[in-house]
Amino acid sequence: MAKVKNWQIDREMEYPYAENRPKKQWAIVFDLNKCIACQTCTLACKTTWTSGKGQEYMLWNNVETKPYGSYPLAWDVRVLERLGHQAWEAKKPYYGKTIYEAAEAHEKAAHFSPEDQDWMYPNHGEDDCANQVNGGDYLSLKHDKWFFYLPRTCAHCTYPACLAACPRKAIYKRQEDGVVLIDQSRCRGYGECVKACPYKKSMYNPHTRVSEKCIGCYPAVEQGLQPQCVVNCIGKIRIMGFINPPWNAKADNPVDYLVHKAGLALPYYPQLGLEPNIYYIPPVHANQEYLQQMFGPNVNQAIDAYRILKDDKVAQGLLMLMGSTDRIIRRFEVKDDFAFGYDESGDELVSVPLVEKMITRTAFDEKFGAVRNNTP
Amino acid sequence: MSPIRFYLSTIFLSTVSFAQINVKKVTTNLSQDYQSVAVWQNADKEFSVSLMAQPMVTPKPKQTSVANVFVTALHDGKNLALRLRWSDPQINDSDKLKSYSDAVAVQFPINDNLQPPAVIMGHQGNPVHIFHWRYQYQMDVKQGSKREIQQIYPNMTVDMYPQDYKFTGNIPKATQEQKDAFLGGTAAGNPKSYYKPQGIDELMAEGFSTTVTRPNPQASAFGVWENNEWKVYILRPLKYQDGSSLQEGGKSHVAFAVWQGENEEVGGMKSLTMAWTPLLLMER
Repeated sequence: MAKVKNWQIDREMEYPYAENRPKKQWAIVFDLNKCIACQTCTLACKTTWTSGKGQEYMLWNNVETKPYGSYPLAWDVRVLERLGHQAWEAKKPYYGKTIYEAAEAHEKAAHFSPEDQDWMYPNHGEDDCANQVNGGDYLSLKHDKWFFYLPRTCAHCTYPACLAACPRKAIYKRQEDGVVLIDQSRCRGYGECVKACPYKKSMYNPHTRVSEKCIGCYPAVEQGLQPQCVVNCIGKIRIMGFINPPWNAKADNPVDYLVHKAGLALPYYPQLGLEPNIYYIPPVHANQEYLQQMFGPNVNQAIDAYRILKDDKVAQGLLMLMGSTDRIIRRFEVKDDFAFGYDESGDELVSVPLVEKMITRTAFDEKFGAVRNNTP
Repeated sequence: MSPIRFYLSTIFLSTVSFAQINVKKVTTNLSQDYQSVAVWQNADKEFSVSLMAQPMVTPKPKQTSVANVFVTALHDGKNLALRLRWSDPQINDSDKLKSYSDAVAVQFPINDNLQPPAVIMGHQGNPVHIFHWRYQYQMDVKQGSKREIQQIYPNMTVDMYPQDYKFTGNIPKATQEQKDAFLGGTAAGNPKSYYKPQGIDELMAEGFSTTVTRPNPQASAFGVWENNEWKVYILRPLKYQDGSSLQEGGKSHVAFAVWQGENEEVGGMKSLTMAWTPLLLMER
């Protein structure tokens, strides 16, 4: 075991391999306040990557309804249960155990292993909220009955459990973009990665008899394009880019701004110790204790920052850039009530207004001599 | 593995047991009848080999699943046949998710039959030759192909597979190669993804986690499960151009590993021998 720096839990931790950060790190930020679980991302991924034999059950990207939805069944509850109670005080490092530190002698990471039936429910408990909605409740606006949607891909972790657990070293993390891949020619299908990944994003293909996982759409990323699940998101809730560790954060990098500068986006289940690289702007109306369990004890600050977005034109502009272009925005700026996205060489990719122009049309169109109406 | 641990392992794990497996010679053609009961009446009595839970690399089994494998062998001057017997209360294949096949492996040194490398699958520069039978492969052989997903999960639904359309109109039908492009392991040429007509894999290794599958295996294998035990018959040629070669009248060494499917054993999760067993190919 080596000692490695994990900034998400603000301390050093144990990991089987030495710290070796890639030159660039693939990352996606999701605004959970905007996800409507339309599953367009899921289908975009499915049709692109997992339409083959043995992949029938696979959703490299999935959207589940929290708190009850999950794919595979109860993945989150079961890994937290395995880890046991761990404390984490706000604004302090996490001193509880990660899955590597909680591992027993016979395993690389504390884990649970899903049965085949656990994979058969893409979103078990879909649209079940946390309490029963009684008659007359729906306009109370107290939000004691809550749920939210959680879209998930592989997090292309800085310290992947799949990679740590593979006895054949058939899993590797690319230096050029941090994407974690299973070598399809070397894998022997032992399923250790399926067991070890706490997010359950490695999957066994019973037809090819080897394991597979989300590839971060690396063929697109290599060409400066964002992944399929990002560009097909009709709610424009996602942005893909490259994240720097906090000590190298750049204020004009979209992901760095959302995660490090504005503190709007947080990794999920950082206490597991993988330094996952998908980040979430937490839902403002969900249960605080649940959100603390999922996003750590500083989740309130992220919610507070989201509530005062109207005072932060830069963050506002950046959220407007989400879903505005297929290309990867490496740098952005906000000026004169417009947000601009630039590529690696500094060329402008897109510009969007912070507020769309309001146009009021009269009921009667003089030019065509016709009455406009909203009847379809 | 640290250099010191590796050094120690090569010293201590190259040990061999004192007793040996005597391989009697038969006059029949073993490639024809190695699966018949009658031919095994000529064999020497079974040799009991002790196994233990793999202790070296993570993941490891918590306890030993199979404590003994009983081995006997025959040769006919061209081929070596081994019969491996161990107790197993449940038969397991591994077609479904999170299911694990019963399996066995026999390992031979390559460079020097008398001074074999580390028993833990050889070491760098000193490889071993492994014959690996899985019940899963045998199930495939029984029907002449890998089982289809529809056989494994009859109630699963799928609209259509890429390039595999019922009605293609004027478009020419896709070739198998074009269809295989959508199967990661198959397209990458991973031997795990292909049908094994002989029901066995031949592998080379220079230590744990380094196994490479040999193309065109020359060995064959067949297992019978009855009375709560497996009897697996493995047939291999004595001579290999670039593998382990055996000499009539000569001595070599063997080591064994067994995987118990119901205990979710695969890869390093296995029971294995921590000492080589000498093997003598008798001249009659």
